[in-house]
Amino acid sequence: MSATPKRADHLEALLGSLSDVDNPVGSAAILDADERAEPLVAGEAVLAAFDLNAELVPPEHGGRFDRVDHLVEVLRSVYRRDPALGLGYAVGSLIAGVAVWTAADTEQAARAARLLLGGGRIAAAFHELAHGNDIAAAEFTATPSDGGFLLSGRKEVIAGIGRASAAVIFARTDPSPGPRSHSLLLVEPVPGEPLPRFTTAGVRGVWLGGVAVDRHPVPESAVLGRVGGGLETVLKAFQVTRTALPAMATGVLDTGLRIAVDHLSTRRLYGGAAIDLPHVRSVLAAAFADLLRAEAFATVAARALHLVPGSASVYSAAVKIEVSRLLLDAMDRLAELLGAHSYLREGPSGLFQKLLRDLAPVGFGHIARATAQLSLLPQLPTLARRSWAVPGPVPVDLLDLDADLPPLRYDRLALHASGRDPLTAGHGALLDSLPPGPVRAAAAADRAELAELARVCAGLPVAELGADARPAHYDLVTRYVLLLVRTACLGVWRHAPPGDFLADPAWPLAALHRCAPGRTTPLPGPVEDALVTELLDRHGGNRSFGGTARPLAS
Amino acid sequence: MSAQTRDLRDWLVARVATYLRRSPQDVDPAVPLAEYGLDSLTALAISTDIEDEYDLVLDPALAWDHPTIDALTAVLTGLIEAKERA
Repeated sequence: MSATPKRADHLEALLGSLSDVDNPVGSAAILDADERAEPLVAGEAVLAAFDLNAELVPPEHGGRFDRVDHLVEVLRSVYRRDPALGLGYAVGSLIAGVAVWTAADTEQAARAARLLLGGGRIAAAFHELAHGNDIAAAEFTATPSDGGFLLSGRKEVIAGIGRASAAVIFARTDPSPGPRSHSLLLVEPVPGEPLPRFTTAGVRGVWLGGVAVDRHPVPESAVLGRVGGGLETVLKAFQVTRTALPAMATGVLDTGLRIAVDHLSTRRLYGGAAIDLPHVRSVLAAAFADLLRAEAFATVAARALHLVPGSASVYSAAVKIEVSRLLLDAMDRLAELLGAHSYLREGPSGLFQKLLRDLAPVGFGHIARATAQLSLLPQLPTLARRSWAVPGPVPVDLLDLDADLPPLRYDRLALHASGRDPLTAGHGALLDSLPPGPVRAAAAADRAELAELARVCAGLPVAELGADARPAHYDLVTRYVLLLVRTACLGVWRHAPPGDFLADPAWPLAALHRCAPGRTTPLPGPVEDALVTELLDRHGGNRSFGGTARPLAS
Repeated sequence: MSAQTRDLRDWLVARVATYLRRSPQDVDPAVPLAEYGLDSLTALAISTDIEDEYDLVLDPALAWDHPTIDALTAVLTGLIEAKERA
C-alpha cells in the first residue's frame, strides 16, 4: 500500500526490536518508563537523531512533510511501540504546526519552522476543561491593547506545554457569541504560570499540563491569519490531524495483534495450541481484517487531503469516527482473548495493557467521536442532493494507493464540502467496474443502501441537525460512514497491484461482511482461513499486519 | 429597497425561521444568527441552500462573515446583480 517512504524503514530500524530486552526502546524499557510515569528518554533520543521534527514541517519551509500518508507511515513506527512517545514528542507540534501552515504569513511560518527544525516543541493550547469540544465557547481572552493584545485565562490538559518553547493559543478576541469571535496566536515563549500536572490512566509518560495567564502582552504580529479567523483555521487545519492521528494509531493494533499471536501460538489449552481453537482464529482474523479496513480507509482519506481538499471536512470526520472505533473495538476483543495476560503489567505480553490504555484517547483526544458525528450531520442533506444522487466517475486517484499525490494545499481546505463527495458519487461506477465474483456480489446490496440513504438525507430539515439532533439522525451518520469505508475498501482492492495481499478478495470480503448493515454472523470459513494464513505468514516473517506489510525491526 | 431585494430578504427570513423553528415574524433581519442560538456549523448550511435557490457559487463561510439576514441580503444582492450583468 502506498510505497512506504525509505525514511519510515530507517526509523523502524533505529527504534529496533520490541522483544529485545537490551533495547533501550524495547518493551521492557517502555513499560519501565510507563510505571514511573516518565517519558521514554531513550526513545526521544532516537526521534531527535532521526530529526523527527522535520517530518512535521512542509518542504517549502525546509522540512520533509510532503505527504500525509507518509507522515502517518513514519509515525506508525512510533505508535507500534509507545503511543505516549508519539504524543509527548510530536503530536502537540503537529497540531500546532498545521494551524500555522494553514493560517500564518510567510514570516510566522518561517519562525515556527525554524523553531521545530531546531528541535523545539510548539504546544497546541486550544483546550479548556470547562468547554471540552465546544471550542466556540472558549473563554481564554486576547484583549486588544496598545496595538497588541493582553492574554488572560487558562488552558488545560495540554500535552508537553511545560517543555514547549512556543504555543499556538486559541483565544477569544470578541466577547460576543459567534464564529468570528476567536483568533489563533503564536506566542513565544509560552506565557503564564504552569498549572499542576494532570494525571491520567493512559499515556502516563506524557506531561499533561496547562497555563494560567494574567494580562500577558503580545504584539499584534502574534495573530495567525485574520483576527476573528481562529475557528475557521481550526476547523480547516484539524482536518489534517483528524485524519493523521487515528491513522497513526493503527500501529497500536498492529502490535496488539502481534502480542496476541505471540501469546496464543505458544499457549497450550485443552490439549492443543490455543491458536488452533476456532474462536481464537475467528477473533484474530476479524481483528486483522479490521486493521486492514482501518488503514485502507485512513489512507484514502489522507490522499483526499491532497486530491480533493475541499471535501476533506467529510472524510477526516469519518476517519475520526470509524478508524478510532475499529481500533478500540479490535483491541477490546483481543483483550478478551488474552484474558489475564491483557491485564498483567509484566511478562512477554505486559505491553498489551499499556497499549490498551494509551489507545483510549484516539476516541476522544483532539476531537471526540461524537463531535465528529455532529460535524457531519448538517452536511448530510447537501451531500445527498449533490453527490449521492448524482453518479460520478470512479475516483481512481483516491483509490490507487501507489499513485502520486500533488502537494498539500492548506489554502484549499474548506469549512464544509459544499456537497462534494467524489468517493460516494463514484460508488455505482466502482461497482460496475468490479470483476464478476464474490466481492462484487457481496457489494451489490450497497446500491440500494446508498439510494435509500440519499433519499432519506436529501429531505432532512437542517433545523434538526444541530447539537440537539435526535439519535435517529446520528444513526444516518453511522450508516453513511460505514458506506464510505466499504466503498474505500472495494476501491483499494480493485486498484491494488496484482500479487499484493490487498488484491486478495479475502480482506474486502471480510471488510464488507463485518460492516454490512445488520451483520451478526461470523466470517465465512474460506475467508477466515485466508486471513489467518496471511496473518501467521506475516507473524513468522516479522512483517507488519497493516496495508503495507512492511518488514519490522528484528 | 427593490422588489427583488425584498423577495430575497423574505426568502432568507423564511429559511432561517425554519432553521430556528420560529415563525418568520419572530426573526429580526438585523440580529446576528448566533444570537438566536444557531450553532456555527448549522449556520454554514445556509450557504448551500442559497446556492441551490439562486444558482450561485458562494464562499463556504458566507454566513460567518455576513452574520445577519440584512448583511446576507446586501452581499447576495450584489452577487446576483453581478451574475445577471455577466
